[in-house]
Amino acid sequence: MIYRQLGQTGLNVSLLSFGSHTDPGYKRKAAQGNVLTEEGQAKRDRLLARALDLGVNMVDTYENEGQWEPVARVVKAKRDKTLVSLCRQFPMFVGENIDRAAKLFGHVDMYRVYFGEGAGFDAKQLADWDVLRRAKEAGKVRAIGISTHDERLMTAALRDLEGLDYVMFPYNFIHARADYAEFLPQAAAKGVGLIAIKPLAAGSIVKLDPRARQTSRPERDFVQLYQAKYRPLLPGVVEEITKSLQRLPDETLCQAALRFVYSRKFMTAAMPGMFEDFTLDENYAGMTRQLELSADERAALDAAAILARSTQRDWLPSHYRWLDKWQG
Amino acid sequence: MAAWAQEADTAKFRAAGVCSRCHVAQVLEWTTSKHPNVNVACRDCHGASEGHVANERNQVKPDRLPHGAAIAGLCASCHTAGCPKTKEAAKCESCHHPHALIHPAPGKLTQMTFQDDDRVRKYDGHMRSGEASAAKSDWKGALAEFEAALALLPSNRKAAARREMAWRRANPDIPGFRRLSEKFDPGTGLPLDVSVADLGLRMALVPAADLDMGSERWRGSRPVHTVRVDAFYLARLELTQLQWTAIDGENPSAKKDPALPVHGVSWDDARRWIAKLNDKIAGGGFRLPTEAEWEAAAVRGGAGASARNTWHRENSAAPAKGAFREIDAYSPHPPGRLASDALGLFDMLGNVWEWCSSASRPYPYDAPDGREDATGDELRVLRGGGYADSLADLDPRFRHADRKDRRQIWYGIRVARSVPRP
Repeated sequence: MIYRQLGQTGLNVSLLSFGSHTDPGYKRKAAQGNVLTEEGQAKRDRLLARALDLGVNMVDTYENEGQWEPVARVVKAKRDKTLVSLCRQFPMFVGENIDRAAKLFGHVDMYRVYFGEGAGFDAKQLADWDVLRRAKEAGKVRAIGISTHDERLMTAALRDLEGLDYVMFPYNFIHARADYAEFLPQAAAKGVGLIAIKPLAAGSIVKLDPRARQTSRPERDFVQLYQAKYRPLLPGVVEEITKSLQRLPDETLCQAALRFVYSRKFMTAAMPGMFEDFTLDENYAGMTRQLELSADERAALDAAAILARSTQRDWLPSHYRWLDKWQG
Repeated sequence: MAAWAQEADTAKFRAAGVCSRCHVAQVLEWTTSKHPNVNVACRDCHGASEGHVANERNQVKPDRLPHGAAIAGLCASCHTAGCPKTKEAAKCESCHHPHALIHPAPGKLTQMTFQDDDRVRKYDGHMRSGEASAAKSDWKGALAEFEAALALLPSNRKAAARREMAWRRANPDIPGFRRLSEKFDPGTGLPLDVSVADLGLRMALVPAADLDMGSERWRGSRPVHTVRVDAFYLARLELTQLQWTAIDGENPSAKKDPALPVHGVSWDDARRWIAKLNDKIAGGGFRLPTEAEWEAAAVRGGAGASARNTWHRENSAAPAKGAFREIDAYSPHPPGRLASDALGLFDMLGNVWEWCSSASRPYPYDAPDGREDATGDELRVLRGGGYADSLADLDPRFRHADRKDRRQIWYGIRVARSVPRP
C-alpha cells in the first residue's frame, strides 16, 4: 500500500481508501435516505476488514440509524492504525454528531461537512464550519474538510473556510474538467489535502470496458454502451478502446481509471465505493504496478472518455447524472 | 538552611511573585533584606523579564543580569551617597551579598540596615502616616503623605500605587460611571460596582493580578505562562440587543428579542459600536477586553461553576439515535438568568462567544508584540463558548478565533473599560 500525507495534517492516508456507501442491492428505506440491510451490513463489514488487512487505513462513513456501530466494531482492533473519516450527511448539528462519534470511535480522525452547490457559503454553512473548527481546536478531530460537487464551492472553501485541511470532490479521468484549472493550483498553494470521490464514476466506468462481462459481476450486463445503440455512432472509438485494452491483458479499464488518480501526485487518495470482493481486489491491484500511465492506458482512457461523453448521460445511473456536469 | 532564612517573612516571599517559583534561594535571601519593606523587588534590578518568565525551558535570559559596576549603578539609584559606612559607591557587591545585603565575613552574618539612610527613614515615616490617614478615610491627608514618600523615592512602585489609591478615594467619581454602591477596592481605590450612565450597563471591577494564562488541556492554549493584568472594568452581562440598539439602530441578531444578547456581531461591528459608545459617554475608554483580561476575569471569578449546569445541560441532551437536530434547535438565553461568579459576572461561559481585542497569535501572550494592534487582517480571539457548544468544552482557557468581519450567529460582545489614571 502507498500512503500520502493529507495536506499539512501529518496524517498519512492510504492511496486507496474505503468509501462505505450503501449498495443498491442491499438497501432499505430509512427515515432519511437509505441504510444497509442486515445482510448487506454483514457483507460490508467483511469487506472492510479485508481492506484493512490489505493496508487500507482510511474508512469514510456517515451515521444513519446506527450504522456507525458496525464500522466501530470492525476498526476497533486496528483503531490506532485506522483513520475514521466521518461526515454530516443530513441536516444535523455537527457538534452533537462529533461528540457522539468521539464516544463511539474514541476519537475522530477526519470530519467533513457536505456542501451541495452554490457560489459561496450561507450563514448556516459557516456556522457548521465554525463548530468544526472548534472541535479541531479542542482536539476532538484531527483534520477537517468538506465534500462538494461544485468547483465554485471548492474554490470558495479555500478562500473562506479557516483551517481547511482537505477537500473531497469528484475526480476521475472523464470528469477532471480541465483538471480544475482554478481550484487545484490554489489548493496546492495552501497545502490542502485532496481526496477523489467517484474515481470510477459511481461504478459506471465498468460499463465502458468491453471485457467487463468477464471481469465484473457476471449476473448483470455492464456493457450496454457496446450495444447497437452506440456502436454505429462511434466505431473508431470502440475499436480504439478494445485495441488498447487488448494490449493490456492484465488490466481492466477500472484499474487504469484508478491509476489515473493514483498517478496524480497532488491527489492524496482515491476513495471508490466498494462492496464486492472483486472490486477491492481490482482497486488494490491497480496500485501494485508503476503509477505512471502507459501510452496504451492513456489511449484507452482517452477513447473511453470520448465514448462516455458521446452518450450524453446515459452511461451514468440516473441518480449520478450530476457527474456529467463536470465534463470538460 | 540558615535560621534567618527560615524566618523569612512569607508575605515578603509572596511579594516576589512569579520569581519565587524557581529562584527560591535568591528570593529567600532577598526577604531577609530591607528591600522588600521599601518595595524594591526582583524586577527593579532585573527588569520585568516577561520573556524569561514565559519560557519554561530557560532559553530566555532575564532583561537585565547586572554584574560589577552595573550593580553599583543600580544601588546608586537609591543610595545616592554610597555606602553609609565606607562611602564606597563603585563596588557594593564586593562586601554585600547582592540579594541578602548581608556582611559576607565569617561570623558576621548580620543583616544590614538602612538606619543610616535618612531618606529611607523619612520614606517609611510618610508611608506609615499615609496608611494611618487612609485608615481614618482621610484621603486627602493620605494622598499628601504618599506623594511625599514618592518624592523621596520616585521609582518606588508601592508609594506610587498607594498614592493612586488615595487620589481615587479623594476623587471617587469616574466620568460616565454611576456608582451603585460605596464599596471600593482597597488596593486601587476604585469603586467595585458601577453602571454606564443612561445605558443600564453594569460593570464590575476586575482587580489587577498575575494570571497563569493558558492550559495544557488545549493545544492552542499552550504553554501556561504568567501575565500581569492591570485592573479594568468588565460588563457584568453580555451586551443585550436593547443596549445595542440604544447606540446603534440596527440589530444584527438572528433571533430578535431585546432581552437576548446581541449576536451575529463581527469584530468590526463590535468596534464600531464601541466607538459610538465612546462618543456618547463622557470619559470614553470603552473597548473590547484583551484575551488576557477576559481570561483573568473568568478565572478570578471562577466562571462556570453555576453556568455550566442548568441551562446548558438542558439544551445539550443528545437526541435519540437517528433523530437529527439542526443548529436552529439552539438559541441564546437572556443574560443574567443564571447565578453570577465571584466577581459578579454572568454567563462568562456559554450563551454567546465574546470577542476580545487581541489578534490570534501563539502563546505566550505578549501585549506589546502587536497583537493588540487593531489594524491588520489577523484573526481575532473569541472566548467563553457559545450556546451550541458541548458542556465539556466550556473552559475559560479555551481560545477560538475568527476573521474580523465574520458574523457567526453565536458571536456577541461584553464591553470592557480601562481604568482612568489620576
